[in-house]
Amino acid sequence: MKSIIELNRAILDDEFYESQFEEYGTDKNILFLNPQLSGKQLYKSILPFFYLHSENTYVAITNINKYDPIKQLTDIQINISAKEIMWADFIVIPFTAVDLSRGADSLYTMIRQINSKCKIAYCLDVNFYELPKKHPFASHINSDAVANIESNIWNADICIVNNLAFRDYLMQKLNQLLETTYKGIRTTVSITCIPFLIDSKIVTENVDYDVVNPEPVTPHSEETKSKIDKVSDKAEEIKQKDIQDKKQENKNGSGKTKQKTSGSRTAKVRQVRKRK
Amino acid sequence: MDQEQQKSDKSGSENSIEDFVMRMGIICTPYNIEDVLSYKNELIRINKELGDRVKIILFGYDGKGDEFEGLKYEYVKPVSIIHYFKQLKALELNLLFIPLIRSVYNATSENYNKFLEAGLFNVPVIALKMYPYKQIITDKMTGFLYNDKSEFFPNIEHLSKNPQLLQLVGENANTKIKDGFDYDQTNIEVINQFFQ
Repeated sequence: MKSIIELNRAILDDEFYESQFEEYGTDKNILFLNPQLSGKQLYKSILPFFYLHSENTYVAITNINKYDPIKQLTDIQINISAKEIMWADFIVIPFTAVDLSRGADSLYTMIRQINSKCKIAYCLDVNFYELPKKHPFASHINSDAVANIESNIWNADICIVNNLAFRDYLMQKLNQLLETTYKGIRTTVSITCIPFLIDSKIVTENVDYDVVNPEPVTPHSEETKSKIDKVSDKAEEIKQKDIQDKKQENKNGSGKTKQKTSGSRTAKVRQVRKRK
Repeated sequence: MDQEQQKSDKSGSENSIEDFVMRMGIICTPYNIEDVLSYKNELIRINKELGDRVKIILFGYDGKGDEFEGLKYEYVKPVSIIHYFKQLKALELNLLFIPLIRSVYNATSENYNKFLEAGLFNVPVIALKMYPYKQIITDKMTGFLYNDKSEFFPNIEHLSKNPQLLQLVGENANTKIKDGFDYDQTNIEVINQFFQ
């Protein structure tokens, strides 16, 4: 999937990254936060990143993490700045059992303080109430984790699931919580079921890759094409720069093989700065 | 795996039905291995009674452990999503089996992405008639559904003798996916509605 490989590369470049937050959709801006390179995130964040982009809707992505569902579940590292929060009308957060919503320093609190109009969309990947005993998540979803997830749902604006039966199940659960844990505590969360869509052009891109005559991607809309081209151009620029740097190193006879990071941006925890 | 052998296995229409070897894939990861293991006896029966007419391929399985002792199968180790589609295509499957234990967890957590992914390569799926598959698959048109485990083996036996049915249903699945599950303007508008 050439476009996704290129996105993974381009997103590490500071200039490309920042340029995402310098333009605004006429209707809304959607920020996809920290998706992983996983099957689920392909459908929930990565494909929507390419396809929702239009004149009306601008989309941005913070970074694409390596595949590690347990880490996402138990130790998600959120990298976000005040500028990004101010830009976003919607922030889409992947499924995690880390508490994101309670306390003065929580992600939700900071988002609300910096941009009170920004809507928080929290994704659920599985029915965490009914996990089979031998499921890889089961040992990590204890009562504290359940409480965290419930709080993340209760305090979000949108809770995104992808299974209609789960949506109905969750509605019943939330109604129970309204009478127990969250009695008297208001929520405005709406449980939303977003269908999985697939784009044959992006996911099968170069599946029959011909190195000599690579086929260009021809997506549906000009906006998506421009998004893909922008990512592709930046990725190619980074790739060429890496090649030049390597050639220079070999010429200088450094004798060492250095691990090159494409672009200048490294994954670092950004402090969320409160609005003055 | 010999590419020529794979192609010969795959093309039921060119060879006689007697020569047809049905390549049945199963996505098998730590997240669904319990579901796969719940069909172990049925899969062993396929080995015994259908022999080399059906090849079982576990995709996403690392081959370690002895869970599948007694079962004859091939396996392909997990790959990243970047390489997943290329690998899926390379397996040249005739059928993708989606094993599911009938449970609240599966009914509320299963997504139909396997149906989408297989269908992109004209590979039909066979699954238990439960949500979400009973909603999106029309039996023998865009996939195959069975009511309970006792019907699984007869279905597989029947399909192993019907390569043209597999091909036709796979093509129908592909059409359904491209018509209804693609990122066309209508579907993009639907998704956009959720962000209001």
